Formats: sequence, C-alpha cells, structure tokens
Amino acid sequence: MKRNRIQNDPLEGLLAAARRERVPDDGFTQRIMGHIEPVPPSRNSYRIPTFATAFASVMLIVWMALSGFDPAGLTGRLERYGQRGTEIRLAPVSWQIPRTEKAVGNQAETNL
Amino acid sequence: MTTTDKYNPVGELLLVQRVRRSGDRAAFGRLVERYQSPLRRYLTHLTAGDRFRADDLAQETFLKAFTSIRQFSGLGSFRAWLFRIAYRTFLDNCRSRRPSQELDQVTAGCEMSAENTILQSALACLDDTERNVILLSAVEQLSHSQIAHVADMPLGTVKSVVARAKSKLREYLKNEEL
Repeated sequence: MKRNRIQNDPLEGLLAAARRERVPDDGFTQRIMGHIEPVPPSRNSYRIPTFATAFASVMLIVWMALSGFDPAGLTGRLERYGQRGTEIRLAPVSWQIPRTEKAVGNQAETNL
Repeated sequence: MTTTDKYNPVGELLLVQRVRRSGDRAAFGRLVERYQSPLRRYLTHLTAGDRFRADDLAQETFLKAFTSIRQFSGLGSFRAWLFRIAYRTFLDNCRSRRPSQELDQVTAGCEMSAENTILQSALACLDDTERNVILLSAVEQLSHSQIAHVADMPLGTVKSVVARAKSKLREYLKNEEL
C-alpha cells in the first residue's frame, strides 16, 4: 500500500529522478588537482624541541660519566655504602640519647 | 573510481587519513572523483540550475576541503563534512553577489532533464533553508543528524523543515496539476 502510494506520488518520482542523475566528470577532477599545491609531508614541528631536549639530556649524562664528575663525593659514599654489611638489623647498633637544647646549653657552659 | 562503485566507509577513511598525514594528492583525487557528482548536483539545485556557478562553488569547496582537511575529526561522515563546506561556500557566495543576480533569475545556459526542470521550478517556491534541507534529505540522502550538522540546525528543526518543505512541494505540484 505504502509502496504504491510512494510510486504514485509525483514528488517522490521527481526526487527519485534527481537522485538518479549523475554529473559526468568532464575533466573536473583534473581541474581541481591542477589547483592543489603539494603539501609538505610533515608539519609536526612541535616535535623538534622535544627531541632536542631529550638529546641534550642524554649528552649531559654521557659527558658526566666520561669526565669523572663527582658531586659531593658521591662515588666515595657509594663505595662506603657498599662495604657496609647487608644483614637486616632489627635494632640499631648503638642506642643514643637525642641531644636536647638544654643538654647542648649545659655542655656549652661546661666548656666555658 | 567511478560513482557507481559501492560505498566503502573504511576505504574512504583510509583515503582521508592519507591526505591528512602526508597531503597525498592521489588520495584526494580519488575523493574528488567519488564526490564530484553528488556535490555538483547538490550545488546545481541550490543555484537554481546554474551549472557554471555550481562548478565554481564545487571547485572552491574541494580546495577548501584540501587545505582544511586536518580539521576533519574523522569521527563523523566525510560526506557530511564536505556538504557543510559546500553549503557555507554557497552562502558566502550569495552574500558577495549583486542583488540583481537572484537565484530564480537563472535560466540560460543550463541543460536539464524535463523532470529536473519541474523539480527546479518546484524548489523555487521554497525558501533557502527549506530548499537546502529537502535537497540534502531527499536527493543526497543524508540522515537528519547529518543535515543538522551541515545546516547548523537543531535536529527537531530539521525534521519539521523536511515535513514542511515536502508539504509545500506537494501543494505546488498539485496546483500545477503535475
């Protein structure tokens, strides 16, 4: 019923005819392509600072390693740490009473 | 690729990605081949059958699409995105034209079938928005949500405009006894 009604509808007939219409290319695509300028492959220039920072960081680490750079005697401290025992201690080796301000003051007076 | 080839959304998306990433001209050429016919047909109807003006607008549309294809998100339909550019290009062109060059005054230099001539005269009884929406809906077969995107209208408005435009066209054809 509905299909018959649509088929008999002059408006639907006109719209269907318009849908069927194909516009031949006739060199249109060629004309468009002739107007298009080639685009550079990549415009991702935001990557340049990222790569530059990463490269500079790596170079800094390499330079530090080769030049024997040793801030705050880090090498010696690491060696001493390596010589310490590795057993797990449940309590400190020696108990020490924390020094209070009063104790520090008394000690200063004694020294005088 | 000809217009009779089956629509392949994945293939189309791949072509769009190639154009977006590397400015691939060959891929864009295939997109132009695929869409030149519906776009020129749509613009011909919008310009009341002025095929020369429609071709100029279509050319401008494709050039704009190429230069701004990185703005296409890839989530929606490329076809709808292209028609949106075409419609905006048409509106800009209408604003820049002289007042004497009205749409319904275009007659010369256009070869149209009898059915298209009748449709064209029927479309003249609609306003610009109704003409655009009915063409996108009934001829170019875009979904209502795609038309809402193309014409920058709420979805409910699109539905009511489609119904009103069809009603007006039927009334026109009835009065003309076609």
